[in-house]
Amino acid sequence: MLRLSVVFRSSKLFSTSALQLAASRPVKATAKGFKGNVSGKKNRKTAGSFRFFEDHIHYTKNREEGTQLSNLEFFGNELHSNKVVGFTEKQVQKLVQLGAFKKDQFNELFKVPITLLRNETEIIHKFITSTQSTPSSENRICLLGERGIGKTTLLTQAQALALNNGNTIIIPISYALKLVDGTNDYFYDSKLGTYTQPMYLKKLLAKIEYVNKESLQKLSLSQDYTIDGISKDKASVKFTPKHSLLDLVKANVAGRQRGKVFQILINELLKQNKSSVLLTVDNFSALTSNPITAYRNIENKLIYTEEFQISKFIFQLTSGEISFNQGGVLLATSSDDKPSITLKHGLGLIEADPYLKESEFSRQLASKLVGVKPIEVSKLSKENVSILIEKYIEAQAFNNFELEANSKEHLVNQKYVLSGNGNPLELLKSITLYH
Amino acid sequence: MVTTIMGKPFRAKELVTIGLKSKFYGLSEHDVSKVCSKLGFYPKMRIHQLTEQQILGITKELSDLTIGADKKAIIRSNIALKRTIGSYAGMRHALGLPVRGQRTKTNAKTARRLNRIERRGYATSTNQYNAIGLQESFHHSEQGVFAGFKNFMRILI
Amino acid sequence: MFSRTILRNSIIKSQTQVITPFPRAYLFSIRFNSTLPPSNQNNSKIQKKDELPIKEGEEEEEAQAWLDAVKELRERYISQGIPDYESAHMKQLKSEVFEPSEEQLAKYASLQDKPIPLRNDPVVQHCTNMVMKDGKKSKAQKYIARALYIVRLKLRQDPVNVLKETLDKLGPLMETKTYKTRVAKNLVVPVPLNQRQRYRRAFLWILEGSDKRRSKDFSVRLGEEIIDAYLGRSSGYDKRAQIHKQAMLHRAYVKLR
Repeated sequence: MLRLSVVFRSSKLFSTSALQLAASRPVKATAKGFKGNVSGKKNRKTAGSFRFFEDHIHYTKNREEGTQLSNLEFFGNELHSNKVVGFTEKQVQKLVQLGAFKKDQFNELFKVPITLLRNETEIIHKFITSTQSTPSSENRICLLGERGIGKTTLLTQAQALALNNGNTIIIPISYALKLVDGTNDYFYDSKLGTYTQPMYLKKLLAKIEYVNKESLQKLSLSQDYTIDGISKDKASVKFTPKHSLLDLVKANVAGRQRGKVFQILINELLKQNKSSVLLTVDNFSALTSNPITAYRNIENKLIYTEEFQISKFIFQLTSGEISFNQGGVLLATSSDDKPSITLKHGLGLIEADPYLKESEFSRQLASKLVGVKPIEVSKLSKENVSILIEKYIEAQAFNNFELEANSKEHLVNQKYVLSGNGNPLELLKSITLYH
Repeated sequence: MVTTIMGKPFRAKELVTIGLKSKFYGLSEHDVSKVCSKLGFYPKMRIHQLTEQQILGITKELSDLTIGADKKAIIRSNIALKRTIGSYAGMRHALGLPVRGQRTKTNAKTARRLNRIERRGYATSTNQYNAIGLQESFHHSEQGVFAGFKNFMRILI
Repeated sequence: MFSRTILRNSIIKSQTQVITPFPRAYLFSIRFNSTLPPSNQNNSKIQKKDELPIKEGEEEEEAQAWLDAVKELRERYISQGIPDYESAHMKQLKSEVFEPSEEQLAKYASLQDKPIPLRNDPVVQHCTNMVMKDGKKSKAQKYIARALYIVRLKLRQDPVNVLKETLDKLGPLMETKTYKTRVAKNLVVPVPLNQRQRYRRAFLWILEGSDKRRSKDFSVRLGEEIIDAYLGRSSGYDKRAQIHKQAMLHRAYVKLR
């Protein structure tokens, strides 16, 4: 690659005579071959993984070589408190699609991802049971708590319970920040009156299809629908009551029409009363922390969270404005988002200052959270820590010198303190990243 | 892969907003934001995702704005006017010194680099290009006993 | 030693309890104004100020306890006279002589053969210090811990043992040192290395090797290099062989005394 480089006169060396120099004729330009690396050393780094730590341990196939725990029971409907259980292969397949397992959970130590049944599990179990019979407006809960306390894990348990039921349709929003941070495309759908996000919807519909195949197959459409084609390649698609909801979700439609497909799906789910519908939103606090999205409209004005189709749908459900005949809404907050007064005011935990700015507090969004039951996830007890440590000793997650120097009781006490009196993430870090 | 928009090369992975802003002289962040939202690009869109039509759209939007050589010409004519009416600001430009009362004992690097009657101006990325060019010129400067003298002569010629 | 100090403290506490007839709670309660038992009225004022959550019943009990204590003291002083605080048991306290009970002795004996647990492994600590830049130790610890976690995942063994074994395999046994003789040519003398020196050279080679890897994350590069070195694939082995070769060449200069 040749590149012209012009040698400019450096005027900074002759500041006093700059005027005179500026008037004189310019220096002759010299053409030189341009090399990217002037020093001539080019380090070609080819060996090894290119990933960062979190991705490296998550994506390299470590789980296959993980420890198979003995006497491990599977996550069923018997939920005794203070017990470690594993997910079955079938559950894992679906939970992975639901985006349930995150990168920092140290699941790769085990062949089967494990989870601890604790006091909150019973609350979640009751919640899932009541979603089978009561409308979703009566089942709205939001998990709160500090970083690493287990909000996402409880959400996963709820999803696994719903999968066990077999008759629950799960609509998973696995990372709500993606709805507002400008990483997905968007356009204003004048028929729906909202902004839709085709790229996000494609993934969401694929997830819904994969996870709820059996349940969706049983439900048929209530009326005729026609979804227009957008160009020569994509002809219009017609749906009749012979078609099931699975056909609707599977249908290959143009990106611009996906918003309509999603709307039809929701409308049909609202009408039916054969199966219950569970909406799970992880990182829900991203929506309340960012009432103004990163997107702009055609006039370069701000777009609010509620103007988007999916966000609007979520808030309609949380407010009880729309309600599934049987179903529920399960929200989990994230400590990654900035603390939001909107969320806490909406849940009735604090009273917002009436003089707050719009960017700090959105009264409208807060009003949509009235009636959602907040659940503060508690820390692990010493018994919980003890039973977890047993499993991690079996998985050889401890250093030998640590095991030799301490009795088990001593180890439990030590780790309980190191974990900040029972924060699960800190506990795992103190076990696995302690040398 | 390189995409060309209005004669400027763009890397495929580049964000549209940042790419446009850095390649065109006189195009502000706000201008780019306006163009992108008018054409319906989402904030994190990348160059390789643009279709032919969208590129044409960008070209059309940008051709309505005064950027590049036109913008430079306006700025230069303004400076030339200040010089011709004999104002202080015009004199400072001609001397290659800071115009707005900054100190000159130290610093004032940017002014010394850019301020002339024919003021030099770069878009962000071309600025980098020339910074490398300058470095190269030092790299290939004379060496040896009379290096200082030789370099001095080189600049005078 | 630790247990000893605890025992001593406990004895001091028990003795102080004997000296002061006040209920134990008052030793820990903080009162700045006076040591005299405050009257009810006074107490309520303090309560308002500090908003201490004391109930009325408790307050009365507290006052009663103070009064009782004063009464007891007065009686004792009348019957026994004012005690001499420089007397025998105070001297004993000062001389720091204490007699451990049999239970304590038994515990001491049982702990005798157990080592004091270390917080970190010394070898890992040595490596951490080599990784450290600008005194940022916790950052270095994070890198090492993550690298060792990657080793654990890949090999399913205790990574500290793996690291030690690798350093032992990789570390050179000898090194050549050049001594200047003022006469003709320099003397190149092979010198044996101790364990710490061997580990240091080996780990620096590992760090060198890790720089050639692709990941932008240092802990991933280091973890992978440790695994490779453990499996005998590191370029450090060539360097080790080279050094040994040189040491062998100059074996004639070894001074045996």
